[in-house]
Amino acid sequence: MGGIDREKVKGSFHRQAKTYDQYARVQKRVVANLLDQVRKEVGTPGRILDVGCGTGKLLAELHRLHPEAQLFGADLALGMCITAGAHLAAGAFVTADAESLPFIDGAFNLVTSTSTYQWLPALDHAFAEARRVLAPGGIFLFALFGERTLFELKDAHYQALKREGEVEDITHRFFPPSRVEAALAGAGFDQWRVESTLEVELHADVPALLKSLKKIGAGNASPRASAGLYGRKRMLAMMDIYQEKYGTTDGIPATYEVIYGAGRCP
Amino acid sequence: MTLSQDLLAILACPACKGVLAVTDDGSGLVCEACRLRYPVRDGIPVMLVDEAEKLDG
Repeated sequence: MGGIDREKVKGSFHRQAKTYDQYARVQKRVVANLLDQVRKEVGTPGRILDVGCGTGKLLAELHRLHPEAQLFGADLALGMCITAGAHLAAGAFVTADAESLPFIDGAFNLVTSTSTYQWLPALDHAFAEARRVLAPGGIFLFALFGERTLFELKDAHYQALKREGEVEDITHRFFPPSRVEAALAGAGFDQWRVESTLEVELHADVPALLKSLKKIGAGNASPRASAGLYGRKRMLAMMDIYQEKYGTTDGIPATYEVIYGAGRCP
Repeated sequence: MTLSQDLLAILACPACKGVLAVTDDGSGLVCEACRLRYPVRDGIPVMLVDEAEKLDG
C-alpha cells in the first residue's frame, strides 16, 4: 500500500476546515446511518469519543441524542478541532493521531469514527487504540471508505496511464471489507461485524467531480498521484475515458463504498 | 481558555499513556516519563509526539 503523506492530509484538511461542511454530502449520509446504529445499540453512554471528529457534526447529533454524556473529539487537524470547539461548547477537543490516542485505558463507553480510517496506512494500531480506550462492555461504531470508492476515477486514470505505456497504479488504495474485519478481529473485541454499502453521487461532468473532491480536502492526499494524475495530457485523457465509459445523460457517477463496522468489548 | 476538568481526568501521554501535568501558565501538558511538553494552541491540546517539545535532562 502506498504511503499517505500525513503532513499533507493534515494540511489539506486544516485549510478546508471552514468550507468542509457544505460539500461533504456522502459524509453526511454516513453520519445519519451511524446515528441509527447508536440509537439501536447504545444504552446511556457516560463518555463518548469521536475519532477524526472533523467539524464536530457527529458529536453535535450525539449530544442531541445523549445530552447527559460527556463528549470528546480527536482530530489530526488543529483547524478542525478549533472549528468543532466553536460550534459545540458541550464537547472537548484534542489534536491527536488515531493510532496513538492520548487517553487513559477504559476512558469511554462509546467510540465512534466516520470517514477517517481510510487515510491510515494500516488499521490494526487504530483499532487496538479504540479497544484500549473503551471500558468493559463499551461499543466501537465506525464507518470508513472502502477500496471500491471512486473506482470509476481509478479505472479511467489507469486506462489513461496504459495509453502512455505505463502500468503502475499510483492512486492511494483504501481497504477491502475483509481487511477491516481482520483488523477488528485482531483488536480483541468480543463480538464484531462488518458491512459494506455502495453510494452513488452524480456530478455534471468529470471536472465537477474533481472540484468537489478538492473542496472536501481529499483531492490530492496521495503525493505521487499529485505528480502523475495531474499531468495535463494524461488528465485530459482520463476525463475523456471517464465520460465515455461511465457517463450518462444525467451526468457522471462517482461511487463510494462505505464500510460500516461495530465491535463490542468483553 | 482553561482546559476542562472532564478532559484532564482522562487525558494521557499518547506515547506512554501515562499521566500529564498542566504547566503553571496552562500553555502546555508535560509528560515527565517521556520528557515531552505538549502545547495547547487556541485552547486545544496538541497531543502529537512529533509536535511536542523535548524537555532538557
